[in-house]
Amino acid sequence: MKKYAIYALALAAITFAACSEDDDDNSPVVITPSTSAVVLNTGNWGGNDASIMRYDISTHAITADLYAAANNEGLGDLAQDIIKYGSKYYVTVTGSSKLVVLDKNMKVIKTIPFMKGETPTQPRYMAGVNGNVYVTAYDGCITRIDTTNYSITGTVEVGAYPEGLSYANGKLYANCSGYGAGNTVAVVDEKTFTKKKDITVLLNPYTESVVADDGNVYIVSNGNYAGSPKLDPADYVYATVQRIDTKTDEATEVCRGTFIATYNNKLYVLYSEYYLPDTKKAFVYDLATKTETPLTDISQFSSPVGINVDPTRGDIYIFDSAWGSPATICGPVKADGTIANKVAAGFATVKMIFE
Amino acid sequence: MCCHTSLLSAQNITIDTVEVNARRLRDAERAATPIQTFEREELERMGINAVSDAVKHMSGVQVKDYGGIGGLKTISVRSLGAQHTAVMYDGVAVSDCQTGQVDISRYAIDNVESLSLTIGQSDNIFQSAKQTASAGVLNISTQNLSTESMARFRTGSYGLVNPTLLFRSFISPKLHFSAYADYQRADGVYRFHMMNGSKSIDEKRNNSDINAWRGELNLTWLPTANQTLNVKAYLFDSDRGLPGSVVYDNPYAAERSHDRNYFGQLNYENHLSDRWKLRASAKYNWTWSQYTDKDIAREVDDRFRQTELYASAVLWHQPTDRWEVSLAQDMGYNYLHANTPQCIFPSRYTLLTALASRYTAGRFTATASLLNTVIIEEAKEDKPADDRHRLSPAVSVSMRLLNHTNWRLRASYKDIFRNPTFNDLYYLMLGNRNLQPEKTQQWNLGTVWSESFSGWLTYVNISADAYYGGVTDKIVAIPKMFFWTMFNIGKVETKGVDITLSAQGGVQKVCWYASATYNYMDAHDVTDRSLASWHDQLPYTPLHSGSASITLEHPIVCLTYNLIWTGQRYNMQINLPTTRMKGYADHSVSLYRTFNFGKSRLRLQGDIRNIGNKNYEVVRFYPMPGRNYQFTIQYSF
Repeated sequence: MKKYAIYALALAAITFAACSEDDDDNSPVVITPSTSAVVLNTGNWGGNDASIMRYDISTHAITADLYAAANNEGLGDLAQDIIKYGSKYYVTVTGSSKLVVLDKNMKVIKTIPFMKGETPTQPRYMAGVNGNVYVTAYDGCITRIDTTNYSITGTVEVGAYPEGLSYANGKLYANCSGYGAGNTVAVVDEKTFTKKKDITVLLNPYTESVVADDGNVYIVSNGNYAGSPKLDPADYVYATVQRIDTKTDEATEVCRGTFIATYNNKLYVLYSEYYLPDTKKAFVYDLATKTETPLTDISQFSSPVGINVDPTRGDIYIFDSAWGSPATICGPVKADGTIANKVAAGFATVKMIFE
Repeated sequence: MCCHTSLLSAQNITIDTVEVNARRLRDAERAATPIQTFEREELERMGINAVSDAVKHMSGVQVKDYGGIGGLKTISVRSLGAQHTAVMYDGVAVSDCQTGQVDISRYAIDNVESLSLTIGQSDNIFQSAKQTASAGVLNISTQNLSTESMARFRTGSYGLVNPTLLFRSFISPKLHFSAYADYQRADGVYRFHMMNGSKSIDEKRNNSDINAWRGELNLTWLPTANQTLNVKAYLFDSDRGLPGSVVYDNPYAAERSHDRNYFGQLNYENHLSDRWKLRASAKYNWTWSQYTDKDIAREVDDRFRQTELYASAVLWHQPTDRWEVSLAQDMGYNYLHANTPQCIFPSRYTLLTALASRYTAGRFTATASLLNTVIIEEAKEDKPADDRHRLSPAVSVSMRLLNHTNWRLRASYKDIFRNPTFNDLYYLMLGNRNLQPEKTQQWNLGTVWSESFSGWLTYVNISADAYYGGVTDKIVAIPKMFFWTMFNIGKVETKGVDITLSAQGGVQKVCWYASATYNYMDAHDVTDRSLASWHDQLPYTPLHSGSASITLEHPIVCLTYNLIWTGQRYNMQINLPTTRMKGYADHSVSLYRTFNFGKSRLRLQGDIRNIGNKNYEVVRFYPMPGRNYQFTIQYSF
C-alpha cells in the first residue's frame, strides 16, 4: 500500500527524464516540499465505498470524494493501490476487478476490466516503469499495461495470489502470498518481461513491498499467526521484514514488522501479532546501523491499517481504522512521538501520494 | 357467512384445538407482555406465502432480508439482534450454535397453523425453560388434528414452482397421522435497477437459484382425554446459489450453499388433574451445510455439521385458585464439526432451570420467573471457552382496569442474555474465547384494549407499548491491531413504542379486516464517547416503520392489500449521508376465491407483490425483487 512513498518520487524523477526531452539530463532533481496528498480509501468489503480524497499538508483539511465528484459515480469496491505515473493516476479496484486511469482531476480516462472470461482476476498492486504500469492480480500473473494507449501488452505468470510489487535494478519483485500458504517472491526481468526466479522467503509474503535508498527491496511476510493455540511455539513464524538484495536476489531477515514505509535509509515499522498482542510496537529501523528506535506509542491507535512517509518532507502518517467509522489519518508523527493532527478520511485509508 | 366468523373459531377442527386457539387469543389480549399471533385463517386471508412475510406484519420486529426467493431471512426483536430471538417449531427450539441465528426462510408457511411472537417474558408459565431464555420467541406451530388434506400448487415469477401435499387423517380414534411434503424451485433471476451516482445499473441478479425439499411426518396419540403424545420427523434439503451483494462493475457470483436438516422430536403432555400438568419433549437434530465458492485461482468447500440433543420437561401446579407455579428443566448438547482449518470441534452442554409463579387476583395478574443457566464448554482439540453460570429474572404484571371492558395495563421487566456462538468464540482469526454473554434488558409498559360489537364493526383491538432497554456487552467484531476480533464492547440503548391496531366488521355481503402496526425505535450506540459513531442510530434500525393490511371478503372474490413500510436507516455503525439508506414501501395485493364442492374446497389465489416495482434494499446492495406475481391453486378435501 504505502510502500511506494519514496518510490513515487523515484518514478516522478524517471518520468521527468523520460517525458521532458528538452531538459538537460544532468540537471539535479529539485525536491519541492509537498503541499497536498492524494488519499486512497479502500472502503468496506462489499460496500462499494472506495474513495479518493485530497489532504492539505498545511491546513490538514481533507476533501470529499474527488472521484465521485469528477465522475458522478462511486469508484467501486475495495480500492487497493494507487500510483502516479506521468501525469496520470492508476488505481486498482480489487472488488470491482478493474484498473482505472485518472487525470489530475480524478476524471476517468480509461477503465480496464480485469477479467478472464466471466471470472474476475482482481488486480492488487502496481509499479510504473519505463512507460508501463505493471499490475499483480489473483490470476497469478503480472499484467503489463502500456501507458501510451492503456492497452494490456502482456502477462507473465509469477505464482499464486501475488500481492505487493516493487521495481528495482531492472527487475520486478512480486510477493506471492499463495492465499497465506506461499513463501516466494517472484523476480521478473522488466525488459524481457520474463520470470527469472523465485526467492524463498518466510511464509505468507503479503502486501508490503518497498524499495529503500540502498536499492534493495524490503517485504513483509505475515507468517503463520504466531501464538495461535493450535501451533507449537517451535513452529511460530512471526510477521517479519525481509531484505531482498537486488544484486544477488537473496532474502535475509531484518526485523519483526507488519506494515512498513521507508525514507532516508530507514524503515518505519508497525508491528503486532494477532495472538500475541503484547508484541505490538511502532519503531524506526535504521538500515545502516541496524538499530531500532521507538517511533510512537502504538497503543494509542485502534487498528492501524498502514504507514506512509512524505518523501518530500520526511513526515510520517499512520492510518488508524476504528470500529464502524472512517479511518483517521494520524500525522505527522512528531519527534517526541506525539501525533500533530488527526483527521477523518474515508473507510480504510491505505495510501497517500504526496505532491 | 364470513362476517360472523370470529377470530376464535376455525373450520374443521376438533374441540381440543379450539380450546388451544381460544386460549392463545385470550393470551394475546390479556398477556402481560406483547404477544402477536397469526392463525392459519388469518394467514390465508392475508394471502401470506412465507413465514417471513407474516413476521414483517408484526410490531417491534425487523426482518433482515437478503432478497430473492432463497435469501437468508432473520428476525430481530426491538433491535436486540437476531441472536436474541428463539424460534420454536412445534414447541421445541430450533438452534444453531454456530451462528446463533435461525434462517426463517427455511420454514414453509403451507402447513403452519399459527405463528406467534412473544416479546419479553411470556406470562404463560407452562412452557419450556428455553422459552424463558430468550428476549423474543417466535413460535411456529403446525399442529392440527384436522382430517382435512390438501394439495396445493404455487407458481410465479422467477421460475417459481412450488407443489405441496398435506395429508391428515385419524388412523384410529386415538391416533392422528399427518404427512407433509413440498418442493420449491426457482431460478431466482430478476432484473434490478440501482444507481451508482448518476450512473444507472440495470442488471440481473444471477446465481440465485434454489431447489429445496421439505417433508414432515407427524403422529399424535391421544391415549386418554388428558394425555397427548406427538412424534415428528422433519426433513429439509436445499441447494441454492448466493447472489452476494451487488458489486460495482463486477457481477460475478459463484457462492453456493447446500443445507440439510433432519430432526425428530417427541412431545408428551399430561393434564394429571386440574391442579397438575406435565409436559416433556425431546429432540435429536442433525444439520449439515456446505458452502462453496470459486474464484480465479481457488475453490472453497467448507462443510459444517451440527448435532444436537435436547430434552425439556415442565411441571405445573396450582396450589390455590389464585396461585400457579411451574418448574421447567431443559438440557441440551450441541456439537460442531467443520472441515475448515483450525476447527477445534467444540461442544456445549446447556442446563436451563426455570422456576416461575403466577398470581391472579380478580383483575390483577402478576408473574415472576427466575432462570438458572449453566453452560459447559468443551472442545476436542484445544482449550474451550470458560463454563458459565447465570441467573436471569423476569417479572410482569397486568391489570384489567374496568370490570366490563377488556382494557388492560401491563408492565414487565426481563433480564436475559445470549451466550457467545461457536463462531464468536472460535472462528478462525476472529473468534475470542474470552467473550462474556451478551446481555439484554427489556422494560415494557403498555396497554391493550379490545371490544366486540355488532354491526359494521364487530371487533377492535388496540395495543400500545413503550419500552426501554438495550444491550450491554454486545458482541461485535472490531479491528484491533491489524486484525478483527470479537469483543464484548458494544453497548446499545433502546427506546421505542409499538402500536398495533386490528379491527373487523361487515357491511352487507362484504366483510372487512384491517390491521396496522407502527414502530418507533430509537436504538443508539452508547459504546464509547470517543468514537465517531457515539449515539448514532444502530445500523439497519429504522426510527419509524410499520405495516398495514386490509382484506375485503365478498362471496365472489376476496381482496387483500398489504403494506410494509420502513423509514430511512443507516447501513453502518456511523451515521453519515453516505451510509444512509432511503426508506421504502412494499405494496402487495392478493385476490382469491374459494369454491365449495360439498366437503371439498378449491381455492384460487393470485398475488401481485411489490407493486411499486422499486428494487428497494433491506440490506445494502441486496436489491429486492421488483413487481412480481404468484398464482396458487389449492384443493382441500
